Amino acid sequence: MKFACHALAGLLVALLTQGALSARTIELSDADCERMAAIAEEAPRLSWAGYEPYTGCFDATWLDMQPSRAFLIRYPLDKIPKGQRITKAEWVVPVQLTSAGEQRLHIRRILAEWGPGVCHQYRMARPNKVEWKQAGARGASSDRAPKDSALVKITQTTAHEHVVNVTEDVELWYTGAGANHGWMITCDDPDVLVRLPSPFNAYGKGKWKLRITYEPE
Amino acid sequence: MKHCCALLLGLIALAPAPGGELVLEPPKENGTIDFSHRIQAPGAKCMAVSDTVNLVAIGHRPSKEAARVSLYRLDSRGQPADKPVVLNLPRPVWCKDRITYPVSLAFHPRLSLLYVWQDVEALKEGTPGEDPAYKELDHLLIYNVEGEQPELLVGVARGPEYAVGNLAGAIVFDQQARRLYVPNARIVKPQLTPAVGFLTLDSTGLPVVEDKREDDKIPLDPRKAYAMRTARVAVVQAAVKAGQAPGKYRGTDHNTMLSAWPAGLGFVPVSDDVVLLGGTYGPVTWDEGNRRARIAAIQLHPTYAAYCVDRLAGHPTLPVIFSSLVRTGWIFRMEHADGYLTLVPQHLMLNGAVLHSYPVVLAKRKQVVVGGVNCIHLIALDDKGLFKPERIDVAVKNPEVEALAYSVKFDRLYIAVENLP
Repeated sequence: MKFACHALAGLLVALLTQGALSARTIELSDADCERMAAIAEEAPRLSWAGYEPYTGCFDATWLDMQPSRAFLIRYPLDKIPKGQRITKAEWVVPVQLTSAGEQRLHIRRILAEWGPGVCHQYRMARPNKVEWKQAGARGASSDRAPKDSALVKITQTTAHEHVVNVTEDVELWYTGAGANHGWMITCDDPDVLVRLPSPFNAYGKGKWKLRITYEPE
Repeated sequence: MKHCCALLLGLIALAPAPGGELVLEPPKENGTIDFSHRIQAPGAKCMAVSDTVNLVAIGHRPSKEAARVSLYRLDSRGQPADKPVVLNLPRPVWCKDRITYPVSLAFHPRLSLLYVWQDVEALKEGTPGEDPAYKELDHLLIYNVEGEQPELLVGVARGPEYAVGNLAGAIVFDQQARRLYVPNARIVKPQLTPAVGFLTLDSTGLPVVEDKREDDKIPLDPRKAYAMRTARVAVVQAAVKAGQAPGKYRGTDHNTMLSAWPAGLGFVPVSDDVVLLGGTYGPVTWDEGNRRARIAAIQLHPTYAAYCVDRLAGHPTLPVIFSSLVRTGWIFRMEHADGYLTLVPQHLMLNGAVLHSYPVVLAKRKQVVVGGVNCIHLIALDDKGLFKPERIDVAVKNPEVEALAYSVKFDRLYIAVENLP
């Protein structure tokens, strides 16, 4: 009886330990990203046109989301070992300030490869200049997914973090069912302000976090 | 084996990631390089080397002595002469009690001409608006360096559109040598604003006077070429006397993210319209051909850290810029496409280093060099110009190594030092 109790306890500990060891969560941030850009119709050749403090003068301090602009970001997923199953993926989108009322950000998967020289006009400028199907990465089913991966509804006007469930997208990329070209964030509503902190900004650097939980298949 | 494993782990830990941060600790021992020449030039502030006329020019820091540039002839192997030809810059009568000094030097890429950008210390008393320097100081001096003794051809770039009292700034030619980018300009009205600009040059390397650009080719016959330049020099001198501004200065507008002097801390001309420049908080793209998006700035470091500390240089063969932050141990690397900065920067931290110079790229050797405190720092680059975790510190006798230059022709790095070993 005593032996059986000990064996049962051992089994329980083993099961608990195995469970704890098998599921793992990693956190990636913008510091891990090789590809990011803030593109704008007003500055069709710029890769970093997130903020226009003066007319005709752009910088990367903030990401002011307007219908003519988009923020592009791709997280490499090579830190996840092979043979895993993605159980949860959460993307932390930092928000600096917004207009009053409910503001909406659209998150979509990018379908086309993009790289050096990415801008409103081109998805890459090297080795050859390649244009987006529709400028600003707006081509549905060619440049970007036809549907939102998530719609972020923001009601808090001050600085905060918004957590978005992106499990399906990360799973899709991880399994290889779709190529990982990252996400684009847009705001399609005119005359509102949704200001996100840029990774170039001390408020934004390291705040664009992607938390992925996985376990062996 | 144990050591190999430890080393491997160490290298993996230090492996650079694009957009990431790479920290390099000081090497345990100083290294040596066999492709450098130390030149004893006390108080050296700036340097230029010419592969056309085989000269090294060194500008000296402000001092009570006359403002001067030292010129060292290079022999056929790139070895500098022991003693320089000293070039004392002209001292205007009106600034007899004030110190003038060279800020930046550049050789014409094809002609025997040296360009010296000079400045004068700011007024200690009185109203800056009444400073005669805003009317009288020729910031740009152009010398013929063909003969033994340099000959001043013309002095230009005077007037209220040039700020005074700056210790830093660069002059840089565009690829065709038809533009000379100049630092520390200003817009006076409607409000005082820092600016940078360029002067247009003719085929003889002199600033244009007429609205129409003089595009004549230089005659192959040396006598005819000499006569042509002599005539042009006379035209420029007459224009200066008549109160005109040869070179047709064109500068940046208001609202350019240039918010302080010195401005123009390095230039990387990419095309006729687009140039990258060292701005107040980092690199700035000036796209003169685009009225809607003429300026794009990137803050490579937190703005509260410091301003006017970035020193910009371009890779000669890759679309990559490097920015060293003086008085810190930071260097950034970022790609551009046609002059528009793209993707994410790589941030290198040289622990224990205090940088003083512009980055100098040794493309053939896949290295970038920056001057520090009693040493120079060499960092290895990969094929894409990304920093690799390999750092060599070479000891030199100079507490602020500010003047460095590299000759592609001789594959030699010239370092100005206070004393030779």
